[in-house]
Amino acid sequence: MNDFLQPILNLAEPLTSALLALLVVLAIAWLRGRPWTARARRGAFVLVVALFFAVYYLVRGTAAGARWLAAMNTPFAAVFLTVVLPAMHLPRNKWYRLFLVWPVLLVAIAVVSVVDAYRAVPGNARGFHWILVRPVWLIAGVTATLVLIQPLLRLATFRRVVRGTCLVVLVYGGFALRQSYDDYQAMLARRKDAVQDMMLLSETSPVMQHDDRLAYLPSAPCRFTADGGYVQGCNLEMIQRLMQVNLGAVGRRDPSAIGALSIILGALVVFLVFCFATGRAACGWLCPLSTLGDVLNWFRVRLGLPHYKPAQPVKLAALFSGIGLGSIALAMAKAYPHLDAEGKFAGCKIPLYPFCKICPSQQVCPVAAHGVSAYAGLPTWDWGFGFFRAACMALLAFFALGFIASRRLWCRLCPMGMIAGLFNRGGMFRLAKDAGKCNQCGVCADVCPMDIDMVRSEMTDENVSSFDCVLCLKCVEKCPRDECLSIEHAGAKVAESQYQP
Amino acid sequence: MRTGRFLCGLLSLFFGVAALAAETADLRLLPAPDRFFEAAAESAPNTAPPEGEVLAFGLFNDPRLSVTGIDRIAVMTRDGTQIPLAVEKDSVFYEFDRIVSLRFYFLVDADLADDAEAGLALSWGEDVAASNSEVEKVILDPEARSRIRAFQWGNADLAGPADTQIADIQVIADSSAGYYFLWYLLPMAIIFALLTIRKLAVRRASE
Amino acid sequence: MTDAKQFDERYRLNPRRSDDPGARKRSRFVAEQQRLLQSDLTRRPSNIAFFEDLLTDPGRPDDKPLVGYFCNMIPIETIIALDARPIRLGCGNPALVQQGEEVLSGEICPLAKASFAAFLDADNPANRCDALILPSSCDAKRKLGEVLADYKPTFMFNLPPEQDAKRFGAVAAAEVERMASWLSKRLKRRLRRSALLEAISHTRRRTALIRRFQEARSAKPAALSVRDFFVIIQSAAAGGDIGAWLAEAEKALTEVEAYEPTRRRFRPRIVLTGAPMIWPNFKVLNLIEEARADVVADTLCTGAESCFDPVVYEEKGRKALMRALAERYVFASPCPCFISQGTRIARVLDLVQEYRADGVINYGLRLCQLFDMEAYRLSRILKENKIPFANIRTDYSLEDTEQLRVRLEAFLETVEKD
Repeated sequence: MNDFLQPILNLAEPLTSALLALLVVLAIAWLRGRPWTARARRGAFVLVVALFFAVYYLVRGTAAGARWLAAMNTPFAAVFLTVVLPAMHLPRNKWYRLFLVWPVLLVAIAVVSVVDAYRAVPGNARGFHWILVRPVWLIAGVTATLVLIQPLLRLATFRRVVRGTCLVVLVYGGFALRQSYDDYQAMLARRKDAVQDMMLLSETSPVMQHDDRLAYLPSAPCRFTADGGYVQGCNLEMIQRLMQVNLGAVGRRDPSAIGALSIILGALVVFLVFCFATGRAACGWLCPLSTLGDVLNWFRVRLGLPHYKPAQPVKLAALFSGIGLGSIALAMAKAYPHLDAEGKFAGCKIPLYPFCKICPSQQVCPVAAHGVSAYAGLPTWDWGFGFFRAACMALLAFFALGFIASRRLWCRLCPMGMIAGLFNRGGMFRLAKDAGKCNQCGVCADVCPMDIDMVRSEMTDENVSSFDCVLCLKCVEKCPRDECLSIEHAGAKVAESQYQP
Repeated sequence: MRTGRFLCGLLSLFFGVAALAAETADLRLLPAPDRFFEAAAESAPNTAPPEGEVLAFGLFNDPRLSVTGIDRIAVMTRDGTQIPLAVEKDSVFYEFDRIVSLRFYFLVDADLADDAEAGLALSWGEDVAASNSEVEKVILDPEARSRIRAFQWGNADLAGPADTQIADIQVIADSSAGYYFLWYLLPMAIIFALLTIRKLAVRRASE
Repeated sequence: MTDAKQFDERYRLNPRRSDDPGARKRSRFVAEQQRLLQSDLTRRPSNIAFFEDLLTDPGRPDDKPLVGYFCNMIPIETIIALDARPIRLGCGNPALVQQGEEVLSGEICPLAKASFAAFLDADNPANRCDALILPSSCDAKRKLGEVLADYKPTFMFNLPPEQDAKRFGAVAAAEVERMASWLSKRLKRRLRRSALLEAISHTRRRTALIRRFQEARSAKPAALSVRDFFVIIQSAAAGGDIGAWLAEAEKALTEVEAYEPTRRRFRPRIVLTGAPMIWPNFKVLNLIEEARADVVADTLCTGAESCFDPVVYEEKGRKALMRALAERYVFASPCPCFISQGTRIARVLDLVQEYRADGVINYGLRLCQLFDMEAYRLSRILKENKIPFANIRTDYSLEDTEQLRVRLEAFLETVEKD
């Protein structure tokens, strides 16, 4: 099947470019402000996309250009452009029903891809090997399914379905969603050589590891889930890799160093494009760490206990602790190329991914995916003069207590969400409030998992987006006044508050 | 109009790079350094030049190198004859399906090797057609050291430390294609500039 | 936190009763007059008598305790969850005002005088209550608490002066909890969370119905007179069975929604705002409709606004539910007893725009300082927004009916109809 699709995929390659995703969201936002007819707007949009395609083919024709572009290509961009954006922006009329043919087709192709992979399994090894599917079709198929079922569900249910799906794919994908039978067997074989000491564990093998590209998503899809997880990891993993690049070797034009740097910078561009296009929505809808944490929170809700509302000093302390710990860990990663034979820098023992070793995700995700036997253990006291053990224990406690006693207190500290948080105000998503419709009841502040008060109290500014907002849309969902709160993407209203009888 | 001109300028930059389809670099031969023979200490040597010929060996990883196969690299003498290369199979380093680094050796007549004006040149590109071969790991015979050379092109650092017996050093200007990774900073800068502008617009709107 | 000793035990008075049979006769006469007036309306729901009977006298269908309350800021779900019937005691009968004046001062709000006078008559439904709950909304209500404490066990529900859910949310939720504990001790029942959730679902259904009524009425004002609408709304709080009310209201709503107007309606569309208009004190509503105008929306705590907001909760813990009740009842209220009238002004402007109203009539009760002072800013802001505005200040007595009619008709003539 892949041979049949290859020329089409070649022609459609610009769709996988993150640059096109950036251009398209900007075009949508800009065109929305123009006082033109709908036809003129459509024509301008098509022209912009066609121009991009033309320039893309031209640049791809050169060797360096092809290399430059390839690192910024990702199936996430194609799916975002062809499935998610239309679902958010197309009005729900007959043209939308026509559009739905495309997600249906993607689901069909995904199913065919699985069948194909199973047919390629050698005769003597037939059996159940979980779901074998190429990443591009898995991502397309899952996103298409979610878009297809969205009109049937209430917002709260839909959010739960999306978060659960992302948890399954990102955490369990490492062993259940491999690319092919050979990939699956390779994963099983790797388990035999598993590194025992978690501090020495450096490389994991996520599903999306081929193609000389690294796939990162905003928020915390951790690489230390079973068998590497689905994507390469969270954005802090990417930045740690960036810190580890030997810039001296790059200066000497060492090809492997240049190659590594190019791949990471390309991944960084893709990550920033998605931050710009979706803000901190990945934290609210995708992050498997928060979904696991919310399982802890569910116990408190079930028992009917109230949640701890952090006071402003506590919120600030969490924020600065996150920034501080992240910075220390990244500085240590910068020191990694200069480690001596004993693995020490200035006498201090540093692991390959310092932040990962203090992050609660590396403690929690393997257990979530493989059970308690997969628990990697805490760092020992000899690493980093005890910094790693102390910080790991503190962050793990903060993570657990934060989710058990409060709602999303951890997310105020989590450095993985902070870069995306910068894009909340100024990015493509905008939380809007019509203060004339507000009755000041305060329900929005009451249900907010980040304990944000600004949505309730702001009565003059229409834009109530904030750095901490994870765009979970609970406020929009619960507001009892029609059209008071709404979420806009590139100027279009995606959802707004509506009274639910 | 202005955007059109900007676009043309951008395109010509890429076209300029694309125009360098076939590249050449002058080669010179230097005495073989000690590290060439370190492998012979552990395993039996398997490569030595026949009598009357000189073997030139080395690592070629010019930043401009980006070819699809080992037959796209050729060593030419001044009169245009091609010298076949023996490429060390495991040393070929790929980046996005293109070769960017490899080790090989080739044989030249002894008198050509010592002739400073021999005019050996390395040529590579998509329109180069050579018939090179692959060999297993090259372990040079220390016995034949006098007839083994290291080849060097352009920048002295990359080829490794070598005795400088040659009078003139032709330095080939570095092309900016090697720094293509810096171009990733362009979209990043655009994104952050957009973010800043939009944040300022939000601030102005809320006042 | 259990027994709130809010009033000084040392200074209890013997409850005064009245022996004036004339007052009872006069009050009944006023109620019948209003009922007669409304019976002349062209289009009424077929079961309107059910609602009117509830208002006149809800009776005592079972031995559930009756808990009387004032205003729209008491979370009645707690009362319903304690298996009691809530009955709203604000009195709208002008005949009782005179009686109240004889005991209390004449210079206070007629609503307070009339509501107090209801307790003077031993046969009045108010005297069937087992407990009373009053919010500390306006001065009159605040002092009425101690006065009524001599008659029935009374609880003062303290409201925060500012409608700031961040600063006073926890305090207001604690006050709801305090009220629930007091009531639960008084009635000797435990407040179960499941009962509270069920009560909330009842009031949410009521909200849904009233919103549908509102939509139908504003689209086709001829389908239901605003006076009948207010009768339906106010009868929900009259101490009857809420299940029965929901069923009958559903039937009436079907009829209202089914009505198809045969011709275009040219009457001016009015948004009504201001002080409570409690049946049978529908003097101003009579005048507006007789002057051939339609009230398409209102912000009255005795009108559609009283049921407009649902209780919204996410977590079902006791503290979370108390918080949800406080948010809906205390912080969403447009009552002028808070320091800012922003909520009410925003609501008036939003209603004018949403229901394409031609003008706003502000109704103030004489001797009410809160509504009187709010009228000043409301009139300036509506003038800035170029919305025609009329301010009416009157009390319960029917003596100034004709002067008001002249004023209203003059105002309605100036109102632009597009």
